[in-house]
Amino acid sequence: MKVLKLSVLILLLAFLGLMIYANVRPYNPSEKLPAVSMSQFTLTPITDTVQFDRVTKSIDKLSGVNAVSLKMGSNTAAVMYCPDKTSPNEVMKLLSDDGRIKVSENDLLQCGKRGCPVMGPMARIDDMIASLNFRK
Amino acid sequence: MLVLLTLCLGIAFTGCSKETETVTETVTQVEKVNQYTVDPNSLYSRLGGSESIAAVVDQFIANVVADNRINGDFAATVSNEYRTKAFRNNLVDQVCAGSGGPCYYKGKSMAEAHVGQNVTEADFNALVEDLVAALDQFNVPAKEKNDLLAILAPMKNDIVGK
Repeated sequence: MKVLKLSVLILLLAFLGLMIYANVRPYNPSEKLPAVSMSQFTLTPITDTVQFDRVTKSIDKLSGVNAVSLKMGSNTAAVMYCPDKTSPNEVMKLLSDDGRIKVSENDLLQCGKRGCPVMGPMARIDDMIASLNFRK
Repeated sequence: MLVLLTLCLGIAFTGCSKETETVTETVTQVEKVNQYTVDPNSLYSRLGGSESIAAVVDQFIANVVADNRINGDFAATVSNEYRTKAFRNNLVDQVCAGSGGPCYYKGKSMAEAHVGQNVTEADFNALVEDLVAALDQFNVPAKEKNDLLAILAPMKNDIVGK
């Protein structure tokens, strides 16, 4: 029982220490940016300017969409969105322009095995510390 | 004591997701907290601060993912929500720090990150095109665009042919 109490006390102190550190260290503005997801779609290339404008504007207006990349004549589109606010299905619905464009979501894992490996070895720990930062 | 610990953890992790609307306040606060006086003539200030940089970076990543010339190299990264966020934040931090903003880059060095990736000059040029398209979409003036590209250009030697 004494060992358990001591272990809990050590854990609590370590947690409090981490929380204090998280709230006094310098931090990056990016730590407070909301989580994002990416989706990639294959679609019938849009060649009509009016239709292109209509589709682009409707996706831009969708709440939770951070960025859309859709080019005239391209068969690939990509959308960055906040998963808390919207979903790939909602984006796909708008991309399809009421069924006029054939759209399917790509499985990104099947598109390529390589990944840009810029994440540092301490990324997970940094993230945990960032989540304890209560400063605005 | 366990209850207290659980409660602390609970409070801590509810702070994970913040709305975009608070970002402007956040940036000003970060500048104060980091005790870093940003030069109003720095590229960071001229670009509009971290919020503007984040918007350009988000568009840049979307352009890359839609670019069939190079998107295979990024597919594994953006297929995962955690890695997407880490990748985006590292890019924001890198541009912010490189342009004189109150940030520090925590990711791997470009040389270390691209070893064995066999990135070609054509891949690199396609990436730069996607960045320029993102900057153009946000009407970034030519001077700021060139200044930013000048900061990023030396990285080419650490990325191509490694």
